[in-house]
Amino acid sequence: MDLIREYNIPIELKGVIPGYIGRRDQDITSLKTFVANQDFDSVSKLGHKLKGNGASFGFDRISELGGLLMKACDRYDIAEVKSLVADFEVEVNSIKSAFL
Amino acid sequence: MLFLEKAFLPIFLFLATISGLAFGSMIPVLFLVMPVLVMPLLMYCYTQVYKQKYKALSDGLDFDLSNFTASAIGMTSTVQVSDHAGDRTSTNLVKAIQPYKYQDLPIIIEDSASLIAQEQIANITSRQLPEIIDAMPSNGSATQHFTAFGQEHWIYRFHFKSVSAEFNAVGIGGLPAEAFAVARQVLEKQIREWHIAREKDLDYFGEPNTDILQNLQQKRSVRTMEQMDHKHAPTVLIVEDDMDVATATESIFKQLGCKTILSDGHDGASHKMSFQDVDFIVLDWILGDNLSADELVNKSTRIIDAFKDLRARFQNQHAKIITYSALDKSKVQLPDNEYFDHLDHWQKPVNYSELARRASDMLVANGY
Repeated sequence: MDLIREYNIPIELKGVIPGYIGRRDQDITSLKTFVANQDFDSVSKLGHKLKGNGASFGFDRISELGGLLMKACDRYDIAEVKSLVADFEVEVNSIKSAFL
Repeated sequence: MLFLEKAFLPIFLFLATISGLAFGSMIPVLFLVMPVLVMPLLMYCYTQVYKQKYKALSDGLDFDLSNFTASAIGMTSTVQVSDHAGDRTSTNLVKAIQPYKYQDLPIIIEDSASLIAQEQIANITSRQLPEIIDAMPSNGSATQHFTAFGQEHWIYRFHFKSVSAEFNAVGIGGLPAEAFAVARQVLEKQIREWHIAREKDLDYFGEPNTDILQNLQQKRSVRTMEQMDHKHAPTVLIVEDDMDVATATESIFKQLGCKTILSDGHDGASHKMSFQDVDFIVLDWILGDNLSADELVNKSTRIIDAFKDLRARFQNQHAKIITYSALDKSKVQLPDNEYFDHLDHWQKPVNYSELARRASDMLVANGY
């Protein structure tokens, strides 16, 4: 299994990566709650945040998923949102396995 | 030529009709055949004249048809000599022309330029500049000039002109690459503005940032970030509600030698924007549920309005705002303001190295 991938992490930020991953763990929990409540507004806001911060740390896929979450929320596509939340969880776990 | 272009078809039809009526069948046939044979030659000459005319206009020169000779119709390339207003004399100019797919793109360098500088110029011309020009209108001509100024500065000038858009930029730096980086930032901004103008079906004119040359005249010295001592370091206020983005942004500006102040937007950001002596404000557009950047700027403006000393300080030197958001620039409109300048918009996501490049370019472009 090729779970551990190369990430383009700026060396200056390596010390803060554990904190970043911890907050993304919290985001997974939040997203699942929002999805259960079909709270598209909150999912979209969190997606906006992920879109903004992922690439700053070298996690381009997180930014991409954040953007896709926003678009899925615009369409009120709950199936797509669920799928993207699952992808997000896989991505965070992948990063965790690489860094923690 | 314009008269001929407009008059050609009506005259031809008129003569063909008259001759057809007057002389029978053969002469009208000649009137039909001759233009078909002559037309390609006329059209070729005609397009060459206009090509030269646009080139002359784009280079800021007058176009005189009487000076247009057969040699101009050929494939000769044009060499342009830049104004050389620096410390060195203009007697030892070496003109080197490299082929370029859009137009003849002359490069003018000093013969005493270092090898590093020459390598940078070659790299810019062959790799970086085409990326910029690719983002511009397809049917235009571009010129660039590198000029050594004094012992420690390079000036880069770029000009692009097409029928509906014009781009101008100037950059100054210790090396050609630094000078180009400054101009590149200006050009990227102009390209974004051009896209907006194009959507509205408007022509676009990118104002040249020649004010940067005034700074050079005044200071006669542009410090590099390595040379910048802490006393002269600019202060950057980062207003960002996402602490992860704030951390990354702060890390970059600190590495560039800046002092940084952080705010999440809800901890008195408007007071920090007003009372702290900040040079740049990196401003997230959406700051939580109940606050946006334009409200924050308006609030800060009201605070500044209320204090005479603040008014005097901000009127003397505007704080420069860089909006930083996942939103498109078209959705980020700061209100006109007499105390703050909207310098640029950085659209998230931006990776760390790209953010560092933009921050560095921005500081250099503003004389730091």
